[in-house]
Order: sequence, then C-alpha cells, then structure tokens
Amino acid sequence: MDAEKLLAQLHGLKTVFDEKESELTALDREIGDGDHGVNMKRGFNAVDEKVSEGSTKEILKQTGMTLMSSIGGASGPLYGFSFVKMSDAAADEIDADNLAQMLDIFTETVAEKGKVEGGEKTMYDVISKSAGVLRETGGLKMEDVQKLADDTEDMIATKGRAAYFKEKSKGTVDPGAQSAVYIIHALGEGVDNG
Amino acid sequence: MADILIISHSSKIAEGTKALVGQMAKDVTIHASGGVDGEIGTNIDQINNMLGSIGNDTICFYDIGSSLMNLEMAVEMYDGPYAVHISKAPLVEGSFLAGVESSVGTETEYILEKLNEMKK
Repeated sequence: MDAEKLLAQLHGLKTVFDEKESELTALDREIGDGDHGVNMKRGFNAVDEKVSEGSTKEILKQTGMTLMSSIGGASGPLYGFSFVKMSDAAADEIDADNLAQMLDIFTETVAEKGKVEGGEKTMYDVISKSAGVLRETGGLKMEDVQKLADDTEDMIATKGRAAYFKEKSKGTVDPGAQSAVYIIHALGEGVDNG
Repeated sequence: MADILIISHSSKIAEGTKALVGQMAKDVTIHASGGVDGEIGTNIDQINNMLGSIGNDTICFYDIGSSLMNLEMAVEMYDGPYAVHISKAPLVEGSFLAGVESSVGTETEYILEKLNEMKK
C-alpha cells in the first residue's frame, strides 16, 4: 500500500462511517451516550476534507491530528493519537509485515493511553488481536475481524461510560470495538490489494 | 516561577479556578480552558493551544475522565523548550497550592513533591 492507496482507504472510511452511523449509534444508545456514530462520521468526514497529500507517514499523522481534534469523548483522541504513533513506523510501501508492526503500536497506544486491557469490552479487544489475525491468515478479512468485535457481546464493560451499565452491558457489541473493525479492515484491504 | 495550566470539562470550573488561584498568585501565569464549543468536554486542541503559549516550566492540572488522557497526549506531543509536568493532585486544591508556592519562588521540583502528597 503506497501513499496514494493509503489515502484512498482512509477517504473510503468516510463512506463507511456515513453508512454505519445508525448502526454505531444504536449500539452506543444501548451501553453509552449514543454519540459514537455521529462522532466517527464527523471524524472521517473531516479526514476526507482535510487530509489530501503527503507520504504514508504524513498522511497517517494528519489523519491522527484531524481525528483528535474533531471527535469528542475518549474514542477520537485514542484513534487519533494511535494514528500519530503508527505514522512513525509506516514504510513508504506498507506491506502485511509493516501493517502488523503498526497494529502492534496501535495496541500499545490504546493500552497505555486508554488504560485498558483485554476482555473489558472495548475497542482494544479488536485492535489487540488484529495483528495476530494478520500474521496468522496473511490478511484482515472482514469476517475474521468482525468475529473479534462479536466476542465483546458477552463481555461486561468495566471501562468508559459503558461501565456504568455493568451486567446490562452484556448482550450488546461494544460500539468502539465495532468502529475499530471498520478502521482495521480498511487498512488490511489496502495491503491486500497491493 | 512555574506556569500553571488547568484543563476542565467545564468552562466555569476552569475560569473559576483560575480566578481563585490568580487572586493569591498574581505574578504567576495561569492558562485555563474548559468545555468544548460551549458544551461539557475537553479537547486536545485547547491543551495544545495553551502549551503553545507557556513561557516557563509548567505544572498541569485536570479534572475527570478523558481530561487526563487528552492532557497526556498533548504533553507527549509537546516539543517546546519547557518542562511540562502533569499533577495528579485535585484540580482546585492542587493548582491553588502550586500557584501560591510558585508565586513565592518555590522550586518546581519541590512544588511537585508537595503535590504528590495530595490525593484526588
């Protein structure tokens, strides 16, 4: 995935989050404050508008800065800061190995800044296992990544606003885990198509 | 003399705390920001803007939830010439103590030690 392809994949997320807004809103209404759909939509609309050129590193960094300033709550800054951190590791031509390294950084950043670990029903449950999926299967197929988000359905939230719902959070896929699926799938798709 | 930086979810908390500390520490520069677009919240841009205008080593205070996360990210990305410290002390009491100590010329290191003894 070169800079042009990376940019196309990130711009493509505008369409994805436009389409998935109501799905994410519905999940977040169940176990949060209902703003995750509109937040992700706003964030990637801003990326589509503001990020237009540069090297892979520059594109990732600008995407991160844009997400940090345009999405409220915890998820925007976490996604944004992770993109900024991942930009350091990005090669000019991102292949599967390089993407796996970037996903390791994504994982470390969310763990450190979000103060989260596995099994707490968050975006981390998808992000932290995606590098493993990529290394094992050579790609990031939608069904494989979606499975990671589906696994959060039976978990009980202990972090973020969902934690106030305790046992009631069981039975709903975590909205942050679901939005992470779309982001990671888009990155994986870019590598698949060379 | 250290600068004080205050980030809150509420503009009124930020402004009120700044006024409180400012009254006792007139010579200390206090950077305060709260709320996002008139609503409750914090945003990394407002912290970046404040860090862009610091003129001394700075001690930062935050209130609840994601304010610490945003503050940590902004401080990690700060590449200016000053040392920026995050205090886990309670926003009002901590910034008050730091402001007063800074105004009487207490070393930043010693202020940080005192702040460490305060619990949120």
